[in-house]
Amino acid sequence: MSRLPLKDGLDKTILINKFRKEGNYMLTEKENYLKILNGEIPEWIPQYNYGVLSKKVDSPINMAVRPGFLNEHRKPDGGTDIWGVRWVPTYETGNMMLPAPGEFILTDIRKWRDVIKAPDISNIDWEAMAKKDLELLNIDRSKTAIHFGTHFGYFQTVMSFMGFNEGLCAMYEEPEEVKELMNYLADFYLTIAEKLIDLYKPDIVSLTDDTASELQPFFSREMYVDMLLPLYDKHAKFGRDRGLPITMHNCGRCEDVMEDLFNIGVRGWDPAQTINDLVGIKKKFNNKLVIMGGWDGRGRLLAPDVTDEEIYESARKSINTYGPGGGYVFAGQFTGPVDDPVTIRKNAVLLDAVYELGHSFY
Amino acid sequence: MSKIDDIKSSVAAGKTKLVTGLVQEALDEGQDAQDILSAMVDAMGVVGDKFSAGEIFVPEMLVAGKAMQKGVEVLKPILSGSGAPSLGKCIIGTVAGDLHDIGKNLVALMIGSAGFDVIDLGVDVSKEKFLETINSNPDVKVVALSGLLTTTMPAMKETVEAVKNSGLTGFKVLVGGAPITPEFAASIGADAYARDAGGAAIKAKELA
Repeated sequence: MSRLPLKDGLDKTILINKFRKEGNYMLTEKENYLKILNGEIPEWIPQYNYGVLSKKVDSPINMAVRPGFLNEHRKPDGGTDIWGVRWVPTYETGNMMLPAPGEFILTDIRKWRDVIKAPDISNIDWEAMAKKDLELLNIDRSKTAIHFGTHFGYFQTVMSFMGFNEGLCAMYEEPEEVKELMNYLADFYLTIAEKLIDLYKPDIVSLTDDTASELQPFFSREMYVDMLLPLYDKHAKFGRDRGLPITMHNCGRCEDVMEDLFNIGVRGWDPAQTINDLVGIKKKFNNKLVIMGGWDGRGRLLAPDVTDEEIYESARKSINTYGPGGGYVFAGQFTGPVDDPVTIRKNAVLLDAVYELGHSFY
Repeated sequence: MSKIDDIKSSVAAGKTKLVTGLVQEALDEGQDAQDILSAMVDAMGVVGDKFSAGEIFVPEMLVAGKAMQKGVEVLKPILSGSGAPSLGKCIIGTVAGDLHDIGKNLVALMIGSAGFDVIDLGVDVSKEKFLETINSNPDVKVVALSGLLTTTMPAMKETVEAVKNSGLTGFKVLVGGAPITPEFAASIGADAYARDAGGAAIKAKELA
């Protein structure tokens, strides 16, 4: 694999490693990441990740802290969540979980009050839970940022109850019922956030909701602003009140709502997929809305025999396109079974390429 | 505005509660059931075009489909005895390893609304299941494969290859889904590619 040549012919990553070995201080992954989220030019372009790391990186850039009792269903063979939805892992996606097909717990939105019951949280020892949740992360907090979110989104939660067909129809036909259900969920999750945020002392408040397909949002911006944005705003307030950066995870073509999210304080967007006009987004927000993504892993890159050089070039293209001026974190990886040697090889090449190119960029 | 126009606009607007009554009133006035059905199919065509253009979104399309189904239920007893033409059968499913259903459901909805009899195999459908269903439905006109995940594109390829090499004929294979491109469709031997649900209905009609 070729390395990014510098003008003076040296390889900067070699110099960085030498610099570190000699005991010199550089920013940690966390410090560099927070610098980007605060709108400053970082020392390097880091790689946001979902668990896979380049062997050259000594600590994850960030980790999600999760209230333990909300995530007991996240087991290797799946499980049932607090609302009664059964989740199943999918081998082809590296065991990402989806609601079991066809097993929807809510078929008529008008009956949600009979079906959706928040668990009793009055006897929870929040301090003990927070301590355990943090211990489970097993990280050095000076090197790795912690982001805090309570759930995977109000839209997605309702879809997990009803399925997309009935859920989306309900949003159109019975919007008030959907809003009341979402508000009920919000009361529950906001209470938990209130209890835990100052025990976790996170570095970032994160929001999550996948409200868009590859082609377009699932529903109109008007519906988004009416139903969802006020709830996101309540979660974002935890970050605003504490001066913490706020990030949003939203897959698909969702650029139309970025300004709305920016206005409630969102400063980072992952996975910022290339189906969006990311160049336009970068131009509009400069480095005040961090693009965490910008990598297109389709086309030739999907082929099992894609070469190291082709993968390397894909990373170079992303970094050269979105890196100038700051406001960029590389995010992307090949998805596949966890034991698939092709996926493992491709990810190793990609992540090393991002490390080398990212560390040589500024 | 004529009753048929009322039906058309009610379907397009997803007025599920109105369509049943309007269709019955049209029949009572002596309108031909086939004309009413054609009007609803046209309405869904408009809905598909608007969806493709980004003017409406998934909920609007779903409720329009629901409204049409309400109308079809009224017409069914009449049409089933009249030998009303169907565009033929379409077998559809999301390929093996992929549990996503929304894209496939939208395509099934639009293809059904266009006049096909849809056999929906659901999600995570093996190539064997597709072959078995084609075998039991020798009059099938279109086999539609959906996939959302890049990781299941090989399954789509294997399914198309299995279908094409099975010796079974008389139908065309249509593929689509988020990671699918026209180039990929051509490379795996599919007969056609559709970018979205509205486009899939148009393409299926061309293929039938």
